[in-house]
Amino acid sequence: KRLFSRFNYFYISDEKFVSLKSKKLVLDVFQNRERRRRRRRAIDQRTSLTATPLSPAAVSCLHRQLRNFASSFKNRDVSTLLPLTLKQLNSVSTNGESNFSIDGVDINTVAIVGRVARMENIITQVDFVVDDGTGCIEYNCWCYERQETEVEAVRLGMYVRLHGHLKNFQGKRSVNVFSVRPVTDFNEIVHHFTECISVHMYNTKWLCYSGYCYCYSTTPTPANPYQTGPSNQLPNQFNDPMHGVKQEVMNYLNQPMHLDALEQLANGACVLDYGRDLLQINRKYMIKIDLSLTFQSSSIVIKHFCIGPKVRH
Amino acid sequence: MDTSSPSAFVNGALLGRLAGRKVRTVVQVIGSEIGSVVGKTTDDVQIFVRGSSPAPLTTYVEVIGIAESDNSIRAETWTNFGNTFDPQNFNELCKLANGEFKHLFM
Repeated sequence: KRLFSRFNYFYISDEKFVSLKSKKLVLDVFQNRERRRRRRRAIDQRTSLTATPLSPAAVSCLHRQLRNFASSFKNRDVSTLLPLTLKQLNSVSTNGESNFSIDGVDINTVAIVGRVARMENIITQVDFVVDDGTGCIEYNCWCYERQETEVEAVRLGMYVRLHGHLKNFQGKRSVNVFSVRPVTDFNEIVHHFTECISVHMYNTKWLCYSGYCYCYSTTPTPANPYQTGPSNQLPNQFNDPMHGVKQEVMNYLNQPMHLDALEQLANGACVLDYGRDLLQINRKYMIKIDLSLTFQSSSIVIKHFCIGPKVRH
Repeated sequence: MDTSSPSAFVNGALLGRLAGRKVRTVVQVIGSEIGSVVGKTTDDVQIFVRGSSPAPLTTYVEVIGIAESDNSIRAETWTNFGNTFDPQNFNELCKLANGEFKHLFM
């Protein structure tokens, strides 16, 4: 609680990412003006649009609408990426042949961080057992994949991050691992488990911290509807040690090309994709940006904005 | 997928509660002798870690092993965590992983 209570934020959606080939499809859907108008009317009616704190009920309403809109897009190319402990992975529920869910969220890709406990080199394949402290998981790499430096770098006793798809084959669950990366900064291990807790909390309790850190609105001008005015300063700059970083992020978000992305976000588009874009720009810190958006006529109002835990890369 | 022998995240205060069970913790190395290492846990409790440690040790070392008492661990696995590890984050994780969110870990 001490870890989370320092930050007032809530998630706009699960971490979803959209593969490149379906991006066009996503844009086509979101360009459906009828839908957008309806959505806008519904949200306008339910939320206050000025820079005042939203009541928890209004926030969770907005929250639910954005989440429902995003999850109603049942394209198989829209996948979830969930950080999980192996204990959680063991307790997922299944409804059908290949549909797994945990805490009410569909699972597609999982992220695991653990120690390589066993590594066996057989002629055609390499068998690994990874132990994250809550359980062990086995996976193997076939011989032709070993040429890739990613797998070659893995040694016994090393901490690695795995990404894979959860599969169900004849009643037996396994993870089809497609990415293995050694962990170099061990804060990543703590971060992964904290993130597991955080995502679990979000999915089960719909936790939504009332109050807000920073509020600002873009001022629409005739020339450029997304032009921001000079009043766009963050308050409390003298008390906040992270003010400089936050101002840097705000400056980045205020660029016109990113405001377009923000509009897509407000329509329920993927958050992780945008977050990744930001991560590529600012590799100094791993920053989790949580935004709460609503829109009023042609401008976007950012209601809640907070930067999550800072982990050095 | 095997979850039969989990190791609990502990700090100094939690070590006593889990005597005899498999635990994992990160200590800041204060001193080392042959056969044991003296370390300070993330909540500033001094503990002894018995076992043969790999040399050299970095400032922070993760130890996985069996808790013998409230201030000693018999280590099975040692991992150097470097010099830039944040002990406060780990301390908070220990509290959460043994408290409200125990069902995600054990």
